[in-house]
Order: sequence, then C-alpha cells, then structure tokens
Amino acid sequence: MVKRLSAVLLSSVLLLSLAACGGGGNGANNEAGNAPKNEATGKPASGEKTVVKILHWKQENINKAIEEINKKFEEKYPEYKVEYTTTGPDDEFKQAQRARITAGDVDVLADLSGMRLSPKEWTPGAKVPDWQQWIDSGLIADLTDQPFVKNYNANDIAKAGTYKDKVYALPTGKVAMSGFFYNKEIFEQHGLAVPATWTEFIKVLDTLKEKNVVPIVVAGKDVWPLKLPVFGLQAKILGGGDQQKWIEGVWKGQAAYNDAEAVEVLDKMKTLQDKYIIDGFMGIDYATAPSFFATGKAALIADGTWDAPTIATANPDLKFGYFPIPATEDAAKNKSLVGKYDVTWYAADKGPNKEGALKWLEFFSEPENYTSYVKAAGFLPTQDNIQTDSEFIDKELSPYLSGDFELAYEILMINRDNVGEHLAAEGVHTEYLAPGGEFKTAKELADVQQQEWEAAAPK
Amino acid sequence: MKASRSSRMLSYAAVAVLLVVYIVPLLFVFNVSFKSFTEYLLDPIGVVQSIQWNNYKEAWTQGNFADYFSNSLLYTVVATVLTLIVSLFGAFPVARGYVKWSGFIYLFFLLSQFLPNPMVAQFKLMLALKQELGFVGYDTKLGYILLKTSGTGIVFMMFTGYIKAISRELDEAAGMDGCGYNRYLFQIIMPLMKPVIATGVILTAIGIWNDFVGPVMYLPSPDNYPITFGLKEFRGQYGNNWPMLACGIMIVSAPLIILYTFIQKYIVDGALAGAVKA
Amino acid sequence: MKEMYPFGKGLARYVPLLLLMLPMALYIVFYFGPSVMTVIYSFTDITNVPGSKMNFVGLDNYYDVFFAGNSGERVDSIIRTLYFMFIVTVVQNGVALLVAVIINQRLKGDYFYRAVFFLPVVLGVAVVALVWGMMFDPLSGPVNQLYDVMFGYKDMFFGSFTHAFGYIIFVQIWMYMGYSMLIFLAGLQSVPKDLYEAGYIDGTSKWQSFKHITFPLIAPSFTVNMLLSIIGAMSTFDIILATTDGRFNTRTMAYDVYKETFRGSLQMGLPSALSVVQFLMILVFVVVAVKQMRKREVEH
Repeated sequence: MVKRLSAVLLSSVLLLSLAACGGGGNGANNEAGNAPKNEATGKPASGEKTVVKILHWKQENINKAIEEINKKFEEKYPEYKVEYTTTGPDDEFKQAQRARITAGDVDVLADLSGMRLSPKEWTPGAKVPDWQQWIDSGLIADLTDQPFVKNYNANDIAKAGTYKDKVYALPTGKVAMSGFFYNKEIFEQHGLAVPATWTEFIKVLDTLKEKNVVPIVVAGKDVWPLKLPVFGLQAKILGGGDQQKWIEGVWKGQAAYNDAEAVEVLDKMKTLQDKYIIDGFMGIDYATAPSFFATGKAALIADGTWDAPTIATANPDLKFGYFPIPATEDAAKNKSLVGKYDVTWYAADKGPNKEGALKWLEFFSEPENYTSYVKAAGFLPTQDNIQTDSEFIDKELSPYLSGDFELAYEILMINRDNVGEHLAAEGVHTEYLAPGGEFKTAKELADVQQQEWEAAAPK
Repeated sequence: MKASRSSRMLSYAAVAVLLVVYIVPLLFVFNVSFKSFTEYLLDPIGVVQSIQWNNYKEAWTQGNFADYFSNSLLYTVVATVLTLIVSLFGAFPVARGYVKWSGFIYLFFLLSQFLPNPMVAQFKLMLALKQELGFVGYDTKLGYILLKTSGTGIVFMMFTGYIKAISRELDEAAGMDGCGYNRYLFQIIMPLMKPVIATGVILTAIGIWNDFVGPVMYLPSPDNYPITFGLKEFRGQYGNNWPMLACGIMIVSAPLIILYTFIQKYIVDGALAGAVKA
Repeated sequence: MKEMYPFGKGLARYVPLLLLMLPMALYIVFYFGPSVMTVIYSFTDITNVPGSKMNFVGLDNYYDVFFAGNSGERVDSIIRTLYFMFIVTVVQNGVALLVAVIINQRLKGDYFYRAVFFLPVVLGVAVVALVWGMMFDPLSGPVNQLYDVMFGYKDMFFGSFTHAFGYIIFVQIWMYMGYSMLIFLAGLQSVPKDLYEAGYIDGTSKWQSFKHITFPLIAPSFTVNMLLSIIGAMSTFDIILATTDGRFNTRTMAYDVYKETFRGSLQMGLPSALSVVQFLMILVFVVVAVKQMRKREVEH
C-alpha cells in the first residue's frame, strides 16, 4: 500500500514540480521576479522593478528606434523594465493584440491608424471596431489630462486620437502612400519627367516599356500593396474628388460600387496591372519588392513613404523621388498625396502596469525621443516643430503635402458588417482583376461588389 | 508471393518516380542552404558552387534558435513523456476492465477524435487559468505543455489495442508474486510495449515539436517561443533570404529526423498494433 | 464487467481508478469541457471583451452562418472543404494503398522507401509549407522553370486564384500519403502468406486474389485510413495558414473557424456555431463511411 501511495505521490510531485517550473519560467520573464499573482492583479511590489509590456508589430527600422528609446527609458527610470514584444504584421498582430488585451497582459499597445471605422450617424448597422469596444468596456486608459498629449498637434490628436471628446490614443506619425518611388537615373536616361496627368503617366510607362525597362513593381503576393495606388485613384476620382461625399453616398444609395467613377478607379488600376506592372507580380512579396526597385530592375515601385529608409538602405547610391499617382487629367487636382496615421499608441487601463505605461508614453513623447523615432520610421511628424532632417520628406514629399492631410479610402470608409470578400477590410481588391484573376473586366468586379454591398444591408 | 519479372520492373519504376517527388524538394532545400545569397539570386537551382558552412552559424543566431530550441526541447520531452504515462494509466485498466464501465470510458475517450472544435472555449479557458492561477494557462510554458498532453488520443488507442494482445495470465502471475500496480505497469508492461511506445513517441513528438498554430495562440511572449518561430525571423525582416531560411528548415527538422531514424524500425509494428487492432 | 484484480485488495483496488483520473482530468478540462462550452457558446452572443455579458440568442448564430449578408462565402468554404475532403481521401488512400502493395512484395530497399515516404509527416506542416513555398516560388523556384521548359508555361502557384487550392491539396497529400501507406502496410503484413499460396494453387488471377483475399483482410486498416483522412481533411487549416493564409480562394471551414475566433470580430458566437456545423458534417461523413466499410469487412 505504501508503495502504491508513493507512486501516486511521485506522479503528483512530478506534476507539481512542472508547475513550479512553469511558474519559475514566468518569474524569469519578469526579471524582477514578481510573484505571478501580483502580475495578474497588477499591484507591483514596491521597491522592485516593474515591467512595462509593449506590444507592436515587426518593422525593422521602427523596432530598432523603439528599442533605443526603451534603453534610455530604463536608464532614466531604473525602477522600470520594458518588455517589448513584436509580432508579424496585420492579422497576426491583430490576433496578439486581442489575446493580450483580453488577458490583461499588456500596458502599451500599438494600433494601425487609430480611431478609424467608428460607426457614424450615416452608417446604420455598422460594426463597432475592436478599439471602440475596448474603450466602451473601460480597457483603454483616458489620456485627456496627461500633459504629454499637448506635445502633439491638436488637429492630429482630434482626428486620430479622440473618441467622445476624450483622448485615448497618440498618433505618432503620418505616412503618405498614394504614389510611386521613381528611379531618377532611369528617368534622366530616357529623358522622362514626373508625369502630372494620367495621359502623361501612361506615356511615361509606354516609353519605359519601349526601352525594355520594367515600368512598375508591386508586391502582389501580400495583396495590400496593390491598394496603395488605388487610394490615390479613389481620392481623386470618387465623388469628383470628394471621397467622403461618395462614401456617404454609397451608404445612402446615392453612389454605387458600379457607378462610373468607381469603375474608372478599378479600370485604371487594371490597366496598370495588365500592362505596366512586372510579370508575375502576384508572386512577389513585400519584403522582396524593394530590392527590384533598388537594383534598377524596375523604374517605379508602388509603396508607402515609410519604406524610404528601407530603399535607401538597400542601395545607398540610388537616387529616387516620389510622386502621387496622377489619377486624372487635372494636374492641379492630382498634385497631392493621400495617406493615413500610422503607429498609434494606446495605454491599457487594466494592464499590469498602467502607471508605467503612462510614464513610458510621456518619455516617448519628449521631443528629443520623438524626433529620433520619427526620423527612423520615415513618418511625417505629428508633433509640431520637429526637424526630421530628411531630404526625402523636405524635398520630395512636402510639395505634395500642402493643405490639410488627405486621408485614404481605407481610413474614411466604414464597411457594413459581413460585406463580402470583394470589399473586405475596407478595400476594393483589385487583385481579383490581376492577370489570372477571376474577373475579366473592371465592370464585372464592380457589379459583384455592389451586389455584396446590397446583400450586406441591415435587415 | 512471387511476382513476374515485368511487374517487378514496373513496381520499381513506380517507386522510383515517387522517390523523386519526395526526395527532390528536400535535396533542393539542402542544396540552397549552402549557397550564398548572391549565388542563390544568380542560380537558385544549380548545384552549390562554393559551400557556405557559415550560413548555418548565421542562421542559428539570426533565428534565435538557441533559446527557441531549448523551449521546444522542454515542451516536446515533457509533454511526450507525460502523454505516454497518462495514456498508459488510461489504457491499461480500460483494456483489462480493472475499472468500472471501462467500455464506456473507452468510448468516451474515443469521442475526443470527433468532438466539436473546442478552440473558442479553450482560448477562454487558457485566459481564465492565467488570470486565476497565474502559473498555468495563457502564455505559460506549463499551460502549453498541459494542453499538449493527452491521455485520450491516438497513443491511448494504440496502447489499448496493444495491451489487449498481452496475456492476462501475466497480470495474475505478477499479482501472485506481490508485484504492485505501478511497478507492474512500468517494469513489466512497458518493456513489452516497445514498438507501440516508439510509435507513440514519434507521433506525439512530431505534433509538439512542429506545432506552430498552438504557440501563435497560446505562447505570445518571446521567452516562450518554440523553434518553429525561428523560421519566421527570416521572413520579411531580411527580405526573404532563402538560403538562411533553408538553413532554418534544416535546423528545425534535423532533431526529429534523427529521432525518427533511430526508432523507425519499430513503427510499422506499432501502427499495426494500434491502428488495426484497436 | 468486473474482472479479477490481481494487484491487491481493499483500497489498493482503487489505484487504477485514481491513476485513470489523470488522463480523465486532462481530457475534461482541456478538451471535453471546452468542446461542450463551445456548443453552448454557439447559442449566445458571447464576446472576447473582458467583462462583457453573455445572453442567449437562440439560433441566431446558425442563421448567420448560412443566411447573413454574403454568407455565400462561408457556403463556398463549406463546398471547398467537401471538395478537399473528397479528393484528399480518394487520392491519398488510393496512392497509399498502391504503394503499400508494391512495397509489400519485398522490393529491395523497402525499409528505405518506407522511411522516405513517411518523412514529410516527421517534418511537420510549418517546414513542409516552406519547402514547397521554395519549390513553388514563381520567380526562382525549380517547378516553374520545369513548367517553362516543358510546356512554355508559368504558374503563380500559391498566388493563383485558380490553382492555389489545387497545390494545397497536392501538398496535403504529399505530406500524409506516407502515414496512410504505413497503416495499409501494417494491415498487409497481417495477411497470412498461406492464404495467397492457397489462392495460387486455385489459379486465381492477381486482381482476383487481391479482391477476394487481401482486400477483405485489410478492410480494418482501410476503415482507419478513411476515418483519419475524412476527419483530418475536414479539420485541416494549418497547411492553409502556412501557404496562402486563406487568400486566393483557399478558405475552408476549419480555416474560417480559426479566422473568426482569432482574427474576425470579437463575437465568439459565430465561430462557435461554425465549429458545431463542422462537427455535424464530420459526424455525417464518418457514420456513412463506417457503415459502408462495415459491409465489406469480414468477420475474423
């Protein structure tokens, strides 16, 4: 009997020791050795280091800059230890973000373009986005009275950080994305100038083709890069240049996905995809695409301005510029870029270390730290009086950024719930028009989109 | 069974074609893993010109394999051993009828193969465990190990089938000699089950070592990352450096291939016992 | 059915039961319980927002699975899942049986062939997906170059709306053929040799002897293989996650469950309902398959 009991005991000891092992591992993660209980209840023991958990997605240049800031933060405030976790972008990040906030296991979390998709009075039955549900459930800290919010441009905070008159998020930068990087040497070699109208643009592309230069490269395999030129087309063509009016019109039944303007958008992108974008672009992934451009294998790349540091690193000798897609025949109208707010910080209200989160955000927002971040990220700053010392931004972008910052379709649009895959994620999905896609004409895709839109109408 | 000469030739030809389909992809990856990135860009397919042994060293550090490797080793060894032990605890009494309703218990355990996908509630459970207990559940090594430990899966079924084939007289003889239950299980029954244990080890280990979906859901902290996450380090961040990725593939798969070659001779016997007799 | 317990009397009789509680507890806590809860959730509006309330909503989630706006896509996923299951079950088991029969005639190096065909199972989905990702790379992969040389044609593979799913099916079969083969081989090796010899004396043809002697005896391994591939194919999503991530018309039901659970809305009722629908479909096919197989099995 004793023997048998001891065997049972042995197995339970085995299990328990494992438990200890798991718990120990956990403690080691915190470094400070907080009891796991503490971590869960969020009461750091006094006198010990407390961990600030930051969740972000992978983007090498930005990650490095934030790691630098974390290092300085830990030096200045030795009572804190930063645990900076990065995941893959997009869906993978979304998954991690939700799990962490549901588990109460994060203090500072990033979001892409804050405060978008919130239902408006003209969007009956629209889905409430994650961030809004979190705020409504009291999971996100109210930053309204934090002094560091004043460091940011009031207009940017109002546009991308405010919900129900309270500030919940810090938009840390803007990016423009409706254009192309172009290789200046190739342009010079063939006597080409930056095109100002659609006709000129097609002429440039035809010339490149005649000279056996691949005109455009885009990372089709990841699909989303195809949206970037489309944002430019949408902003200039839909609603005759008033995109917001068209979007509200779609909800109210005054505009449609298969109306002339929407079809023109799809059709122009289809022209590029069929004739001017590199063969097999649906097989090129986002990480590989810049190398095509940087090594001169393609004259243009459809990409966001945030990739300028990456391109410069890939080939330091390359001379490149950026121009907005000339969507229409009206050169004046074409002459501005469309973009969005990029990395946006939230602080978790019920995270393990809210106080640490606020401290970190305060430190991050100090102009000196913020400047180093914005420079590395290639963003347009959302704090005033920041010198980015970026020739690219000052010379190439600023001519196209006068006036109020124009937001892209994916930021302004709010989808109906269950809208269907041809309109999913606030996009119009021209990948379905790619050579080999299932739609042969822009109109076919447009008709399906309108059908899906109507089918998603609330009953 | 003597086959005619021509049909034997045909058989060899068929096997040869299949071998090509199975071996070429692996040789291709192996070959790429020794190329420099430049060589790969110039000629992705040809036989490597100058072998870059350094690739492996570089891949090992870039992919953080040192940390991830030890994590995966812990998960795989502990969860595999636990799975074998709890499966034995389940299979033996059920196969012998030493507990009440053993037929019902067998069916109940068998049900694990058919139940509705528990993902939604499992996720909530892991979060709740983390919040209530802290040391187990979401984002803990122990939580993941327990999730991966199962005494009701394929190993349990193979064990049950195999034990049924072991004579009951052995139990009685051992009992007469005063041998205890646990000693009997571990010292007498287990050695008799080598083939089916080998199969159980390899099947369980494969499932844990190569798991990448489970860790995405339940192990979000870098300190807990398993070896499969090392492969992700090469995507994007380094512009899809295929030779590095190929090295990563070799690094991830080598340990199981080695394990497999050691115990593969047992596997058909094990599969026979488990799959068919159960 | 009580059996004589030879390892002691009194309390000692409860040791097996006590130890049995370990697998039982693991099963109930981590698998059975969550599974039942998922069924319950499928009738509620539960969300993943901490602190939110849960209400019963009847069959609303089920209605949404099939009839909400644009649920046609989910129906497409279901159809694609069936297609996947059908092709995988037939082709994988067909090839595996053929290979098992061939190998079983004691070819030289049969151990080696067995090992090679089983190797992809050992490699695992993440590695297999990357290996084929390299093979099928449209720009630098060897398969496209082969296509180009042989047919003057190039494919987009996992980036093709029309072909991606086919390539996923290929990879799935490539991966698990060895597993099915092993189970067939195990069955074939249990066929007594003298049965064949008797057959030979009677002068039965090869096909006849396979049909009347071998097949009935390996019917149990056939059943096991059918069940494994039906259940496997209906619940597979990791290979899709690792190759196309559901893009290019490759979503299946199991993938939808994963996506809706972790990446869709915060509502957990819909993925729960999807899980239940998936379960019911597996159940139907398993029952049908088992009934068909039972007819063929010989008592022994």
